[in-house]
Amino acid sequence: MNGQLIGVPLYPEVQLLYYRKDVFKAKNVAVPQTMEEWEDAAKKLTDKPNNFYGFVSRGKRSAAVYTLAPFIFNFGGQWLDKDGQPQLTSPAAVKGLDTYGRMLRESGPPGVVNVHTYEVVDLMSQGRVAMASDSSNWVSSFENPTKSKVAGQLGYARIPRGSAGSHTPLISWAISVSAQSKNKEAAWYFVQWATSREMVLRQAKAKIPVARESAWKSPEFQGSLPKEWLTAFQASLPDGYPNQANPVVVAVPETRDVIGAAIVAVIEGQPAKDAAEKAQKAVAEIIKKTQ
Amino acid sequence: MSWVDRNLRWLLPGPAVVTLLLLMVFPLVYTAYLSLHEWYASSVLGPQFVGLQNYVQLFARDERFWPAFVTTLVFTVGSVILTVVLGLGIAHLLIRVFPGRGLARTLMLLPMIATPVAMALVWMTMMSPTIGVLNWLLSCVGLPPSAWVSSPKSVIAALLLVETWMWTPMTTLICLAGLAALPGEPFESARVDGASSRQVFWHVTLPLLRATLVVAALFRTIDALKVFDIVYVMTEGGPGFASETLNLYVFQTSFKYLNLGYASALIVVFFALIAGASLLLIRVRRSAW
Repeated sequence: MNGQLIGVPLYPEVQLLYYRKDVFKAKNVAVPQTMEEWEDAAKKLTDKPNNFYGFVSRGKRSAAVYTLAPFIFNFGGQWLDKDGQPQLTSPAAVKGLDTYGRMLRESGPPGVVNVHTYEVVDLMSQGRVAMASDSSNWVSSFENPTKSKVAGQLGYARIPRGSAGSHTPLISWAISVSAQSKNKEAAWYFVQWATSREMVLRQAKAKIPVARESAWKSPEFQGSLPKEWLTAFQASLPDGYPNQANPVVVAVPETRDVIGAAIVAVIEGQPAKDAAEKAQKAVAEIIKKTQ
Repeated sequence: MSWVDRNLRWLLPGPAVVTLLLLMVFPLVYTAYLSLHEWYASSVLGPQFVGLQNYVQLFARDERFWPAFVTTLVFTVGSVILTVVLGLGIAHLLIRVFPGRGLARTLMLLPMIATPVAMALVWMTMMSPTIGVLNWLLSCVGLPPSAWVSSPKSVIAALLLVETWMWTPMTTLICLAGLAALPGEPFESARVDGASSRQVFWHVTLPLLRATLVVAALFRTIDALKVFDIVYVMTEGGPGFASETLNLYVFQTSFKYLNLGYASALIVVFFALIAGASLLLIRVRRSAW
């Protein structure tokens, strides 16, 4: 940052659309390319009497903020403006919040407001949903036949685009040494070991998307993951918004709880505009208080 | 008389007083001190004195405090009534002599012995609206499925179900002890006078057990007021903030938002609440003697 190294990268992460190829084929539905098609497909694939649902993503308070993000970005919204003020009441943000809440309410499983990322993975790997949007990292769980009933039947695609394109938060997990550490030298040796060629290659072999180009290009890694996943992942990178999993503020957990409460309210049927206004006010207050 | 002998009355309770000061009085005073400050647990920026600002915010502008207060109250009252009534009922059954009584008493204790967090996770799996066993059981008897902890409407009831399951054994145990300690004569004379079992229960057992029941209610009230584990594991206070209790709110504020000054103010108010409830119950208990 500012020409200074503040951490060594570990894993890049974007959001992807996971979908059931077999279900899409059986119901003759095309893989959605736009937000509108996405919502339509979710509705068509939902079969409530048989306990099968078109779409799942996170609905649990603070966790849901991450998966809401592309919905806001794709309609042209941002978390904050240039001055660091919240933009939750912008038409794009309200539309994104409304679409996300409506899709989960109408095509999501019951009790979706208690769904964290782990439940997303469970519902998908238990074959209860046709589509899920969440972190790209879950591929290893979905493709593990001992954990997943749908291994081999999944398709991977970019998050469908809205009027402003397809943008997901791009997270670069990294490892750093604290400036207040008492054992900086030992910590630095650990960082070097953990990010070394051999260690990263071992992770890549376990289907973990790592941050070393050499490991990424290794045949072991390329061969271990579905081609579609690799394509979708790499296509998502250039349009990803770095570190926008939530508004970049000082008080992240509190801010996420406030926006998350708005998401829950919209899923429960409250108008998106009201919920967004309430969250906007609360986030502005948190920023004023802590920055 | 040596120095030790002369000062024995100070020396002997000394260790207890020091322990008490360190473990109870110091944290309390420090919390009260912090509640007048703004501090985000930063080692760079120390606590800033803000006077009563935290309390003003708490009572006048905080949108989570009063809902959490009401949730705590509803949860506590519900939990105390359910566990004490059920505990008394089960104790009544288990005080009788029947084959396998020892086994029944042991089995009855199990929910209380099991680790709350593990049990909460098991309940959460059972309550899952899509893949949980409880909705399947409901469908077997022709009832519509419930969202359990996944809907703001049913979350408190679902949590009360788990809480009752977990803590009824404790009230049962207290009531069993109370029942076993009752003298036999009043019951015999009631029977001789021709009282029915119902009359014996209402007019002999209950008045004699009153002190025991107050103790059970006191323990349960304190426990329920500070409920944390099952709520945190099963809902984290959600959906939204529908099941957020005061204790959970304090936890989020202090350890997630690191807003230690404000959390201290919350804790002080929470402490006053618990102290008030305990005093009230102890009063009731005194009058019961």
